[in-house]
Amino acid sequence: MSAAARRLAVTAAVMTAILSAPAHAYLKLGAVVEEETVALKWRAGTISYFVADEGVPNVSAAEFQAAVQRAFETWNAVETAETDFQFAGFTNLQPFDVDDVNTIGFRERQDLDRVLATTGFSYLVSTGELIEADIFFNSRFAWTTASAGQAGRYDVQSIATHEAGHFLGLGHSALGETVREGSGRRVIAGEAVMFPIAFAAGGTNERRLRADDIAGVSDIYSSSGFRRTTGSIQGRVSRSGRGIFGAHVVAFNLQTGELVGGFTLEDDGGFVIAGLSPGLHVVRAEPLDDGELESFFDGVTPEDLNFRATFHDRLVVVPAGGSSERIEISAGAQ
Amino acid sequence: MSRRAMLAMAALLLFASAAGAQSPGEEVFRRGAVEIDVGGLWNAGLPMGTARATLTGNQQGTPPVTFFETSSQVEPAAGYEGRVSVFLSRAFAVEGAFRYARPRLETSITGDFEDAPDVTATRDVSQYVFEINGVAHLNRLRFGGGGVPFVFGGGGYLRELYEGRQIAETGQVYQAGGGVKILFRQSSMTLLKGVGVRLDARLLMRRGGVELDDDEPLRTYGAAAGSLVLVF
Repeated sequence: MSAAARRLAVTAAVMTAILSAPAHAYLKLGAVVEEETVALKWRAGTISYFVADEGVPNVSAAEFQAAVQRAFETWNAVETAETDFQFAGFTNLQPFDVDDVNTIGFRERQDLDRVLATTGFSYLVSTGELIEADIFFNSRFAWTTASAGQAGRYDVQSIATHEAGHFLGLGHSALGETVREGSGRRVIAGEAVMFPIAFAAGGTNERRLRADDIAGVSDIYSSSGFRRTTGSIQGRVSRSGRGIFGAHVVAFNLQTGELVGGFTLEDDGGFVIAGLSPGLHVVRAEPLDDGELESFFDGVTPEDLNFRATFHDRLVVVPAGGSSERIEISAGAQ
Repeated sequence: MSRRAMLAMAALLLFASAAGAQSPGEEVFRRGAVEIDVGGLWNAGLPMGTARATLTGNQQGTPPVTFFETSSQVEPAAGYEGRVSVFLSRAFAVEGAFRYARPRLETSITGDFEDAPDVTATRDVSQYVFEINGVAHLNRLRFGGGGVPFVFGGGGYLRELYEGRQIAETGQVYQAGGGVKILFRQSSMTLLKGVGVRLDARLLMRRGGVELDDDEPLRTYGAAAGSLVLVF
Protein backbone atom coordinates (compact mmCIF):
# COMPACT_ATOMS: atom_id res chain seq x y z
CA MET A 1 0.00 0.00 0.00
CA SER A 2 1.47 3.35 -0.93
CA ALA A 3 1.83 6.10 1.55
CA ALA A 4 -0.71 8.10 -0.36
CA ALA A 5 -3.19 5.29 -0.21
CA ARG A 6 -2.67 4.52 3.44
CA ARG A 7 -3.49 7.92 4.73
CA LEU A 8 -5.53 10.96 4.13
CA ALA A 9 -3.59 14.12 3.60
CA VAL A 10 -3.56 16.60 6.42
CA THR A 11 -6.11 18.92 4.98
CA ALA A 12 -9.19 18.30 7.01
CA ALA A 13 -9.61 21.31 9.23
CA VAL A 14 -11.33 20.17 12.38
CA MET A 15 -13.08 23.45 12.87
CA THR A 16 -15.13 22.68 9.84
CA ALA A 17 -14.90 18.96 9.17
CA ILE A 18 -16.40 16.64 11.72
CA LEU A 19 -17.71 13.20 11.19
CA SER A 20 -19.51 11.32 13.86
CA ALA A 21 -19.26 7.94 15.43
CA PRO A 22 -22.72 6.63 16.15
CA ALA A 23 -21.87 4.41 19.08
CA HIS A 24 -21.78 7.18 21.63
CA ALA A 25 -23.12 10.61 21.90
CA TYR A 26 -20.72 13.55 22.03
CA LEU A 27 -19.10 13.98 18.69
CA LYS A 28 -15.93 12.11 18.10
CA LEU A 29 -13.92 12.41 14.99
CA GLY A 30 -14.73 9.46 12.84
CA ALA A 31 -13.94 7.73 9.61
CA VAL A 32 -15.83 5.21 7.59
CA VAL A 33 -13.97 1.91 7.57
CA GLU A 34 -15.58 -0.87 5.58
CA GLU A 35 -18.94 0.87 5.68
CA GLU A 36 -18.78 1.37 9.42
CA THR A 37 -17.95 4.60 11.18
CA VAL A 38 -15.12 4.20 13.63
CA ALA A 39 -13.73 6.77 16.03
CA LEU A 40 -10.35 8.22 15.12
CA LYS A 41 -7.94 7.60 17.96
CA TRP A 42 -4.33 7.06 18.81
CA ARG A 43 -3.29 3.53 19.58
CA ALA A 44 0.12 4.33 21.00
CA GLY A 45 0.27 4.96 24.73
CA THR A 46 2.48 8.04 24.55
CA ILE A 47 1.88 10.69 21.91
CA SER A 48 4.93 12.81 21.23
CA TYR A 49 4.65 16.23 19.67
CA PHE A 50 7.11 18.85 18.47
CA VAL A 51 6.72 22.59 18.64
CA ALA A 52 7.80 24.79 15.75
CA ASP A 53 10.72 26.93 16.82
CA GLU A 54 9.15 30.19 15.79
CA GLY A 55 7.30 32.73 17.84
CA VAL A 56 5.06 35.67 17.03
CA PRO A 57 4.95 39.20 18.42
CA ASN A 58 4.33 39.03 22.17
CA VAL A 59 4.81 35.24 22.29
CA SER A 60 8.23 33.61 21.99
CA ALA A 61 8.62 30.02 20.85
CA ALA A 62 9.51 29.02 24.41
CA GLU A 63 6.45 30.77 25.84
CA PHE A 64 4.30 29.18 23.18
CA GLN A 65 5.71 25.73 23.95
CA ALA A 66 5.13 26.16 27.67
CA ALA A 67 1.51 27.20 27.13
CA VAL A 68 0.91 24.28 24.76
CA GLN A 69 2.46 21.89 27.25
CA ARG A 70 0.15 23.15 30.01
CA ALA A 71 -2.79 22.57 27.71
CA PHE A 72 -1.78 18.99 26.96
CA GLU A 73 -1.10 18.32 30.62
CA THR A 74 -4.66 19.39 31.34
CA TRP A 75 -5.86 16.46 29.24
CA ASN A 76 -3.20 14.16 30.69
CA ALA A 77 -4.61 14.89 34.14
CA VAL A 78 -8.06 13.45 33.39
CA GLU A 79 -8.22 10.51 35.78
CA THR A 80 -10.77 8.52 33.82
CA ALA A 81 -8.82 8.69 30.56
CA GLU A 82 -5.48 7.24 29.65
CA THR A 83 -3.71 9.84 27.56
CA ASP A 84 -0.07 10.75 27.63
CA PHE A 85 1.16 13.68 25.60
CA GLN A 86 4.90 14.32 25.69
CA PHE A 87 6.78 17.33 24.37
CA ALA A 88 9.56 15.91 22.19
CA GLY A 89 11.44 19.11 21.34
CA PHE A 90 11.51 22.10 19.05
CA THR A 91 11.54 21.64 15.29
CA ASN A 92 11.92 23.70 12.18
CA LEU A 93 9.18 21.68 10.53
CA GLN A 94 5.91 23.39 9.75
CA PRO A 95 2.50 22.23 10.96
CA PHE A 96 0.30 20.72 8.26
CA ASP A 97 3.19 19.19 6.37
CA VAL A 98 2.71 15.43 5.99
CA ASP A 99 5.95 14.26 7.57
CA ASP A 100 5.01 11.75 10.26
CA VAL A 101 5.86 14.35 12.89
CA ASN A 102 3.19 15.80 15.15
CA THR A 103 3.93 19.49 14.85
CA ILE A 104 2.36 22.45 16.59
CA GLY A 105 3.17 25.99 15.65
CA PHE A 106 2.18 29.29 14.16
CA ARG A 107 1.34 29.84 10.53
CA GLU A 108 0.07 32.99 8.97
CA ARG A 109 -3.19 32.44 7.15
CA GLN A 110 -4.59 35.83 6.25
CA ASP A 111 -7.29 34.13 4.24
CA LEU A 112 -8.73 32.45 7.32
CA ASP A 113 -10.05 35.55 8.99
CA ARG A 114 -12.27 33.68 11.47
CA VAL A 115 -10.07 30.70 12.24
CA LEU A 116 -7.87 31.00 15.30
CA ALA A 117 -6.37 27.53 15.01
CA THR A 118 -6.93 24.27 13.24
CA THR A 119 -6.03 20.66 13.84
CA GLY A 120 -5.46 18.25 10.98
CA PHE A 121 -4.83 14.55 10.88
CA SER A 122 -3.36 11.65 9.04
CA TYR A 123 -4.90 8.31 9.84
CA LEU A 124 -4.93 4.81 8.55
CA VAL A 125 -7.97 4.47 6.39
CA SER A 126 -8.09 0.76 7.16
CA THR A 127 -8.52 1.18 10.91
CA GLY A 128 -9.06 4.83 11.79
CA GLU A 129 -5.82 4.88 13.78
CA LEU A 130 -4.34 8.35 14.04
CA ILE A 131 -0.75 8.44 12.88
CA GLU A 132 -0.06 12.14 12.67
CA ALA A 133 -1.75 15.29 13.90
CA ASP A 134 -0.67 18.89 13.50
CA ILE A 135 -2.04 22.10 14.95
CA PHE A 136 -1.48 25.53 13.54
CA PHE A 137 -2.25 28.75 15.32
CA ASN A 138 -3.13 31.55 12.95
CA SER A 139 -0.56 34.29 13.45
CA ARG A 140 -2.81 36.91 11.85
CA PHE A 141 -4.39 37.21 15.31
CA ALA A 142 -2.85 38.73 18.42
CA TRP A 143 -1.78 36.09 20.95
CA THR A 144 -0.75 36.01 24.58
CA THR A 145 0.57 33.54 27.13
CA ALA A 146 0.11 35.88 30.10
CA SER A 147 -1.08 33.91 33.13
CA ALA A 148 -4.20 36.03 33.56
CA GLY A 149 -4.78 36.60 29.88
CA GLN A 150 -4.44 39.93 28.16
CA ALA A 151 -7.13 42.22 26.83
CA GLY A 152 -7.49 42.10 23.07
CA ARG A 153 -5.30 39.02 22.70
CA TYR A 154 -6.21 35.37 22.40
CA ASP A 155 -4.92 33.02 25.06
CA VAL A 156 -2.62 30.35 23.60
CA GLN A 157 -3.29 27.91 26.41
CA SER A 158 -7.07 28.13 26.05
CA ILE A 159 -7.01 27.58 22.31
CA ALA A 160 -4.38 24.86 22.67
CA THR A 161 -6.61 23.06 25.16
CA HIS A 162 -9.41 23.07 22.61
CA GLU A 163 -7.17 21.93 19.78
CA ALA A 164 -5.60 19.25 21.94
CA GLY A 165 -9.10 17.85 22.32
CA HIS A 166 -9.29 17.55 18.54
CA PHE A 167 -5.75 16.13 18.55
CA LEU A 168 -7.15 13.34 20.72
CA GLY A 169 -10.05 12.71 18.39
CA LEU A 170 -12.82 14.76 19.96
CA GLY A 171 -15.22 16.70 17.79
CA HIS A 172 -17.15 19.74 18.81
CA SER A 173 -19.54 19.98 21.70
CA ALA A 174 -22.77 21.93 21.30
CA LEU A 175 -22.98 22.77 24.98
CA GLY A 176 -23.30 26.51 24.72
CA GLU A 177 -25.60 29.33 23.76
CA THR A 178 -25.24 31.85 20.99
CA VAL A 179 -27.40 34.49 19.41
CA ARG A 180 -27.38 35.44 15.76
CA GLU A 181 -26.10 38.89 14.97
CA GLY A 182 -26.10 39.78 11.32
CA SER A 183 -24.23 37.12 9.41
CA GLY A 184 -22.42 35.85 12.46
CA ARG A 185 -23.07 34.69 15.97
CA ARG A 186 -22.38 36.17 19.34
CA VAL A 187 -21.45 33.64 21.96
CA ILE A 188 -23.28 34.04 25.24
CA ALA A 189 -21.84 31.13 27.17
CA GLY A 190 -20.44 27.63 26.89
CA GLU A 191 -19.85 24.73 29.21
CA ALA A 192 -17.27 22.75 27.27
CA VAL A 193 -13.80 23.56 26.06
CA MET A 194 -14.85 21.76 22.89
CA PHE A 195 -17.70 24.20 22.22
CA PRO A 196 -16.45 25.49 18.90
CA ILE A 197 -16.82 29.20 19.01
CA ALA A 198 -16.71 30.23 22.63
CA PHE A 199 -13.42 32.03 22.50
CA ALA A 200 -13.22 35.65 23.41
CA ALA A 201 -10.07 37.75 23.25
CA GLY A 202 -8.74 38.31 26.74
CA GLY A 203 -10.43 35.24 28.17
CA THR A 204 -8.84 32.25 29.87
CA ASN A 205 -11.98 30.30 30.72
CA GLU A 206 -11.20 27.53 28.30
CA ARG A 207 -8.04 26.40 30.06
CA ARG A 208 -10.25 24.31 32.35
CA LEU A 209 -11.93 21.12 31.15
CA ARG A 210 -15.63 20.69 31.94
CA ALA A 211 -17.62 17.56 32.60
CA ASP A 212 -18.57 17.33 28.93
CA ASP A 213 -14.92 17.35 27.81
CA ILE A 214 -13.92 14.81 30.43
CA ALA A 215 -16.75 12.47 29.48
CA GLY A 216 -15.77 12.71 25.84
CA VAL A 217 -12.07 11.99 26.20
CA SER A 218 -12.76 9.27 28.73
CA ASP A 219 -15.12 7.59 26.31
CA ILE A 220 -12.34 7.36 23.73
CA TYR A 221 -9.39 6.58 26.01
CA SER A 222 -11.12 4.87 28.89
CA SER A 223 -9.14 4.10 32.01
CA SER A 224 -9.80 0.79 33.69
CA GLY A 225 -12.25 2.32 36.12
CA PHE A 226 -14.14 4.56 33.73
CA ARG A 227 -16.82 2.10 32.60
CA ARG A 228 -17.24 0.81 36.12
CA THR A 229 -17.64 4.17 37.79
CA THR A 230 -19.74 6.00 35.22
CA GLY A 231 -22.96 5.24 33.43
CA SER A 232 -24.90 6.25 30.39
CA ILE A 233 -28.29 7.45 29.23
CA GLN A 234 -29.82 5.96 26.13
CA GLY A 235 -32.92 7.07 24.36
CA ARG A 236 -34.56 8.59 21.37
CA VAL A 237 -35.74 12.05 20.35
CA SER A 238 -38.75 12.27 18.09
CA ARG A 239 -41.35 14.65 16.81
CA SER A 240 -44.79 13.33 15.93
CA GLY A 241 -43.34 9.86 16.25
CA ARG A 242 -40.56 10.43 13.75
CA GLY A 243 -36.98 10.20 14.97
CA ILE A 244 -34.88 13.37 14.80
CA PHE A 245 -31.30 12.99 13.61
CA GLY A 246 -28.81 15.55 14.91
CA ALA A 247 -30.74 16.79 17.93
CA HIS A 248 -28.59 18.04 20.78
CA VAL A 249 -29.30 16.21 24.03
CA VAL A 250 -28.03 17.42 27.38
CA ALA A 251 -27.94 15.50 30.66
CA PHE A 252 -27.80 17.51 33.90
CA ASN A 253 -26.80 15.66 37.05
CA LEU A 254 -28.96 17.05 39.84
CA GLN A 255 -26.44 15.96 42.46
CA THR A 256 -23.18 17.14 40.92
CA GLY A 257 -24.39 19.94 38.66
CA GLU A 258 -22.47 18.45 35.74
CA LEU A 259 -23.71 19.06 32.21
CA VAL A 260 -22.81 16.58 29.50
CA GLY A 261 -24.13 16.89 25.98
CA GLY A 262 -24.53 14.56 23.06
CA PHE A 263 -26.33 14.14 19.79
CA THR A 264 -28.88 11.86 18.24
CA LEU A 265 -26.64 10.11 15.77
CA GLU A 266 -28.96 7.38 14.60
CA ASP A 267 -31.53 7.78 11.88
CA ASP A 268 -34.33 6.89 14.25
CA GLY A 269 -33.31 9.66 16.64
CA GLY A 270 -31.44 7.33 18.96
CA PHE A 271 -28.67 8.56 21.22
CA VAL A 272 -26.34 7.39 23.95
CA ILE A 273 -24.53 9.72 26.34
CA ALA A 274 -21.74 7.85 28.12
CA GLY A 275 -19.37 8.90 30.87
CA LEU A 276 -22.00 10.30 33.21
CA SER A 277 -21.60 10.46 36.96
CA PRO A 278 -24.11 8.10 38.56
CA GLY A 279 -27.25 9.69 39.93
CA LEU A 280 -30.40 11.51 38.96
CA HIS A 281 -30.41 13.45 35.72
CA VAL A 282 -32.64 15.96 33.99
CA VAL A 283 -32.53 15.41 30.23
CA ARG A 284 -33.18 18.12 27.67
CA ALA A 285 -33.27 18.00 23.86
CA GLU A 286 -32.93 20.97 21.53
CA PRO A 287 -32.28 21.63 17.86
CA LEU A 288 -28.66 22.11 16.90
CA ASP A 289 -28.97 25.85 16.52
CA ASP A 290 -26.04 27.31 18.46
CA GLY A 291 -23.35 26.87 15.88
CA GLU A 292 -22.88 26.35 12.20
CA LEU A 293 -23.98 22.84 11.29
CA GLU A 294 -20.76 22.17 9.44
CA SER A 295 -18.95 22.68 12.74
CA PHE A 296 -20.55 19.49 13.93
CA PHE A 297 -21.44 17.33 10.95
CA ASP A 298 -19.73 16.71 7.69
CA GLY A 299 -21.64 15.23 4.81
CA VAL A 300 -24.82 14.73 6.77
CA THR A 301 -27.23 17.39 7.89
CA PRO A 302 -29.86 17.27 10.59
CA GLU A 303 -33.21 17.20 8.81
CA ASP A 304 -35.25 18.81 11.53
CA LEU A 305 -34.11 21.97 13.26
CA ASN A 306 -37.60 23.27 13.72
CA PHE A 307 -38.58 21.83 17.04
CA ARG A 308 -38.79 23.33 20.45
CA ALA A 309 -36.30 22.70 23.24
CA THR A 310 -37.97 20.04 25.38
CA PHE A 311 -37.33 18.46 28.76
CA HIS A 312 -37.95 14.79 29.36
CA ASP A 313 -40.78 14.46 31.89
CA ARG A 314 -39.04 11.80 33.94
CA LEU A 315 -35.96 12.03 36.11
CA VAL A 316 -33.44 9.61 34.69
CA VAL A 317 -31.39 7.35 36.92
CA VAL A 318 -27.86 6.63 35.75
CA PRO A 319 -26.30 3.64 37.51
CA ALA A 320 -22.56 3.14 37.91
CA GLY A 321 -21.36 0.73 35.28
CA GLY A 322 -24.67 0.57 33.48
CA SER A 323 -27.23 2.40 31.45
CA SER A 324 -30.53 4.08 32.13
CA GLU A 325 -33.70 2.66 30.75
CA ARG A 326 -34.28 3.78 27.18
CA ILE A 327 -36.08 7.10 27.34
CA GLU A 328 -38.27 8.76 24.75
CA ILE A 329 -38.31 12.53 24.37
CA SER A 330 -41.19 13.84 22.31
CA ALA A 331 -40.27 17.29 21.09
CA GLY A 332 -42.94 19.80 20.20
CA ALA A 333 -43.08 22.17 17.26
CA GLN A 334 -41.59 25.62 17.71
CA MET B 1 -64.26 -31.21 67.67
CA SER B 2 -65.45 -29.62 64.51
CA ARG B 3 -63.25 -27.12 62.78
CA ARG B 4 -65.83 -24.42 63.37
CA ALA B 5 -65.85 -25.18 67.06
CA MET B 6 -62.08 -25.01 67.22
CA LEU B 7 -62.10 -21.62 65.54
CA ALA B 8 -64.73 -20.39 67.93
CA MET B 9 -62.62 -21.48 70.89
CA ALA B 10 -59.58 -19.80 69.46
CA ALA B 11 -61.54 -16.64 69.05
CA LEU B 12 -62.63 -16.83 72.64
CA LEU B 13 -59.07 -17.25 73.78
CA LEU B 14 -57.77 -14.40 71.71
CA PHE B 15 -60.54 -11.90 72.12
CA ALA B 16 -61.80 -12.64 75.52
CA SER B 17 -64.30 -10.19 76.82
CA ALA B 18 -62.99 -7.24 78.70
CA ALA B 19 -65.62 -7.93 81.29
CA GLY B 20 -63.14 -9.82 83.38
CA ALA B 21 -60.35 -7.31 82.97
CA GLN B 22 -58.77 -5.48 85.83
CA SER B 23 -58.21 -1.75 85.72
CA PRO B 24 -57.85 -0.89 82.05
CA GLY B 25 -54.40 -1.17 80.62
CA GLU B 26 -52.53 -1.85 83.76
CA GLU B 27 -52.25 -5.58 83.26
CA VAL B 28 -51.53 -5.27 79.59
CA PHE B 29 -48.53 -2.97 79.55
CA ARG B 30 -46.33 -4.75 82.00
CA ARG B 31 -42.72 -5.78 82.30
CA GLY B 32 -42.06 -8.54 79.77
CA ALA B 33 -45.09 -7.77 77.61
CA VAL B 34 -44.60 -7.90 73.86
CA GLU B 35 -46.50 -5.58 71.58
CA ILE B 36 -46.89 -6.07 67.86
CA ASP B 37 -48.20 -3.23 65.75
CA VAL B 38 -49.14 -3.22 62.09
CA GLY B 39 -50.49 -0.17 60.35
CA GLY B 40 -50.18 2.66 57.95
CA LEU B 41 -48.50 6.05 57.98
CA TRP B 42 -48.49 9.27 56.09
CA ASN B 43 -45.23 11.10 55.45
CA ALA B 44 -45.30 14.81 54.84
CA GLY B 45 -43.42 16.24 51.86
CA LEU B 46 -39.74 16.99 52.05
CA PRO B 47 -38.07 19.87 50.21
CA MET B 48 -34.88 18.71 48.47
CA GLY B 49 -33.51 22.05 47.45
CA THR B 50 -32.79 23.82 44.22
CA ALA B 51 -30.13 23.37 41.58
CA ARG B 52 -29.15 25.59 38.71
CA ALA B 53 -27.66 24.37 35.47
CA THR B 54 -25.19 27.04 34.41
CA LEU B 55 -22.96 27.82 31.49
CA THR B 56 -19.72 29.74 31.80
CA GLY B 57 -20.08 33.25 30.43
CA ASN B 58 -18.02 33.83 27.34
CA GLN B 59 -16.57 37.11 28.48
CA GLN B 60 -13.98 36.84 31.20
CA GLY B 61 -15.38 37.83 34.57
CA THR B 62 -19.04 37.69 33.60
CA PRO B 63 -21.34 35.69 35.86
CA PRO B 64 -22.50 32.21 34.89
CA VAL B 65 -25.46 32.09 32.56
CA THR B 66 -28.48 30.16 33.80
CA PHE B 67 -29.30 27.33 31.42
CA PHE B 68 -32.30 26.27 33.50
CA GLU B 69 -33.28 25.92 37.14
CA THR B 70 -34.66 23.05 39.16
CA SER B 71 -36.50 22.77 42.44
CA SER B 72 -37.02 19.31 43.91
CA GLN B 73 -39.12 17.80 46.64
CA VAL B 74 -40.21 14.43 47.88
CA GLU B 75 -43.98 14.41 47.69
CA PRO B 76 -46.18 13.37 50.64
CA ALA B 77 -46.87 9.67 50.57
CA ALA B 78 -48.65 6.94 52.46
CA GLY B 79 -46.85 3.82 53.58
CA TYR B 80 -46.89 0.86 55.87
CA GLU B 81 -45.15 0.10 59.10
CA GLY B 82 -44.80 -2.68 61.60
CA ARG B 83 -43.10 -2.85 64.95
CA VAL B 84 -42.34 -5.15 67.81
CA SER B 85 -42.00 -3.70 71.30
CA VAL B 86 -40.68 -5.29 74.44
CA PHE B 87 -41.71 -3.74 77.73
CA LEU B 88 -38.85 -3.33 80.17
CA SER B 89 -41.24 -1.98 82.78
CA ARG B 90 -44.84 -0.81 82.95
CA ALA B 91 -43.83 2.49 81.51
CA PHE B 92 -40.85 1.87 79.30
CA ALA B 93 -40.51 -0.22 76.18
CA VAL B 94 -37.99 -0.68 73.42
CA GLU B 95 -39.35 -1.14 69.94
CA GLY B 96 -37.88 -2.22 66.64
CA ALA B 97 -39.78 -0.98 63.63
CA PHE B 98 -39.86 -1.28 59.88
CA ARG B 99 -41.41 1.28 57.57
CA TYR B 100 -42.03 1.24 53.87
CA ALA B 101 -43.30 4.03 51.67
CA ARG B 102 -43.11 4.86 48.00
CA PRO B 103 -42.97 8.62 47.67
CA ARG B 104 -42.48 10.44 44.42
CA LEU B 105 -39.51 12.68 43.85
CA GLU B 106 -40.59 15.67 41.79
CA THR B 107 -38.31 18.18 40.13
CA SER B 108 -39.78 21.35 38.69
CA ILE B 109 -37.71 22.61 35.78
CA THR B 110 -38.13 26.27 34.94
CA GLY B 111 -36.42 29.28 33.44
CA ASP B 112 -34.96 27.59 30.39
CA PHE B 113 -32.60 29.79 28.41
CA GLU B 114 -34.37 28.88 25.17
CA ASP B 115 -37.86 28.97 26.67
CA ALA B 116 -38.42 25.24 26.76
CA PRO B 117 -41.79 24.66 28.41
CA ASP B 118 -41.61 24.22 32.18
CA VAL B 119 -41.82 20.58 33.17
CA THR B 120 -42.17 18.63 36.38
CA ALA B 121 -40.02 15.53 36.03
CA THR B 122 -40.71 12.69 38.43
CA ARG B 123 -39.28 9.47 39.77
CA ASP B 124 -40.78 7.12 42.32
CA VAL B 125 -38.63 6.08 45.25
CA SER B 126 -39.00 2.96 47.39
CA GLN B 127 -38.17 3.93 50.95
CA TYR B 128 -37.28 1.43 53.66
CA VAL B 129 -36.54 2.38 57.25
CA PHE B 130 -35.35 0.08 60.02
CA GLU B 131 -35.40 1.85 63.36
CA ILE B 132 -35.15 1.39 67.11
CA ASN B 133 -37.07 3.58 69.51
CA GLY B 134 -37.43 4.02 73.20
CA VAL B 135 -41.08 4.45 74.28
CA ALA B 136 -42.22 5.99 77.55
CA HIS B 137 -45.84 5.35 78.48
CA LEU B 138 -47.34 8.16 80.52
CA ASN B 139 -49.42 6.01 82.80
CA ARG B 140 -50.38 8.92 85.04
CA LEU B 141 -52.15 10.50 82.11
CA ARG B 142 -54.31 7.51 81.27
CA PHE B 143 -57.77 8.37 80.16
CA GLY B 144 -61.03 6.62 79.43
CA GLY B 145 -61.11 2.89 79.55
CA GLY B 146 -57.75 2.19 77.99
CA GLY B 147 -56.10 5.26 76.63
CA VAL B 148 -52.39 5.53 77.33
CA PRO B 149 -50.43 8.52 76.08
CA PHE B 150 -46.82 7.90 75.19
CA VAL B 151 -43.77 9.61 73.81
CA PHE B 152 -40.99 8.02 71.87
CA GLY B 153 -37.70 8.75 70.21
CA GLY B 154 -34.99 6.93 68.37
CA GLY B 155 -33.16 6.48 65.14
CA GLY B 156 -32.61 4.10 62.32
CA TYR B 157 -31.24 3.13 58.98
CA LEU B 158 -32.70 4.53 55.78
CA ARG B 159 -32.45 2.77 52.45
CA GLU B 160 -34.01 4.20 49.31
CA LEU B 161 -34.18 2.72 45.86
CA TYR B 162 -35.05 4.66 42.78
CA GLU B 163 -37.79 3.19 40.65
CA GLY B 164 -36.06 0.60 38.49
CA ARG B 165 -33.94 -0.37 41.51
CA GLN B 166 -30.73 0.64 39.77
CA ILE B 167 -29.33 2.77 42.56
CA ALA B 168 -29.69 2.38 46.31
CA GLU B 169 -29.08 5.36 48.58
CA THR B 170 -28.61 4.93 52.29
CA GLY B 171 -28.78 7.27 55.25
CA GLN B 172 -29.98 7.76 58.77
CA VAL B 173 -33.32 8.75 60.24
CA TYR B 174 -33.95 10.17 63.70
CA GLN B 175 -37.42 10.67 65.07
CA ALA B 176 -39.32 11.86 68.12
CA GLY B 177 -43.02 11.98 68.67
CA GLY B 178 -45.95 11.19 70.80
CA GLY B 179 -49.36 9.63 70.62
CA VAL B 180 -51.84 7.48 72.34
CA LYS B 181 -52.55 3.78 72.53
CA ILE B 182 -56.19 2.93 73.05
CA LEU B 183 -56.94 -0.61 74.08
CA PHE B 184 -60.46 -1.72 73.36
CA ARG B 185 -59.99 -5.36 74.31
CA GLN B 186 -58.07 -6.44 77.38
CA SER B 187 -57.72 -9.74 79.13
CA SER B 188 -55.43 -11.26 81.69
CA MET B 189 -56.72 -14.73 80.86
CA THR B 190 -55.48 -15.24 77.35
CA LEU B 191 -52.24 -15.17 75.47
CA LEU B 192 -53.36 -12.01 73.75
CA LYS B 193 -53.61 -9.53 76.57
CA GLY B 194 -54.82 -6.60 74.67
CA VAL B 195 -56.05 -5.34 71.33
CA GLY B 196 -56.20 -1.71 70.39
CA VAL B 197 -54.94 1.03 68.19
CA ARG B 198 -51.96 3.30 68.28
CA LEU B 199 -52.07 6.81 66.88
CA ASP B 200 -49.01 9.01 66.78
CA ALA B 201 -47.45 12.04 65.22
CA ARG B 202 -43.73 12.37 64.82
CA LEU B 203 -41.04 14.71 63.72
CA LEU B 204 -38.33 13.06 61.62
CA MET B 205 -34.89 14.18 60.66
CA ARG B 206 -33.03 12.41 57.91
CA ARG B 207 -29.54 12.59 56.53
CA GLY B 208 -28.63 10.88 53.30
CA GLY B 209 -30.89 8.64 51.29
CA VAL B 210 -32.12 10.22 48.08
CA GLU B 211 -30.18 13.43 48.33
CA LEU B 212 -29.47 16.15 45.84
CA ASP B 213 -26.91 18.03 47.92
CA ASP B 214 -23.34 16.85 48.31
CA ASP B 215 -23.18 17.97 51.93
CA GLU B 216 -26.25 15.89 52.85
CA PRO B 217 -27.94 18.32 55.23
CA LEU B 218 -30.22 17.15 58.01
CA ARG B 219 -33.75 17.46 56.62
CA THR B 220 -36.81 17.65 58.85
CA TYR B 221 -40.32 16.51 58.05
CA GLY B 222 -43.41 15.19 59.78
CA ALA B 223 -45.41 12.00 59.72
CA ALA B 224 -48.55 10.57 61.27
CA ALA B 225 -49.33 6.92 61.76
CA GLY B 226 -52.05 4.60 62.92
CA SER B 227 -51.61 0.94 63.83
CA LEU B 228 -53.48 -2.03 65.10
CA VAL B 229 -51.94 -3.00 68.45
CA LEU B 230 -51.68 -6.55 69.71
CA VAL B 231 -50.17 -7.01 73.18
CA PHE B 232 -49.05 -10.43 74.39
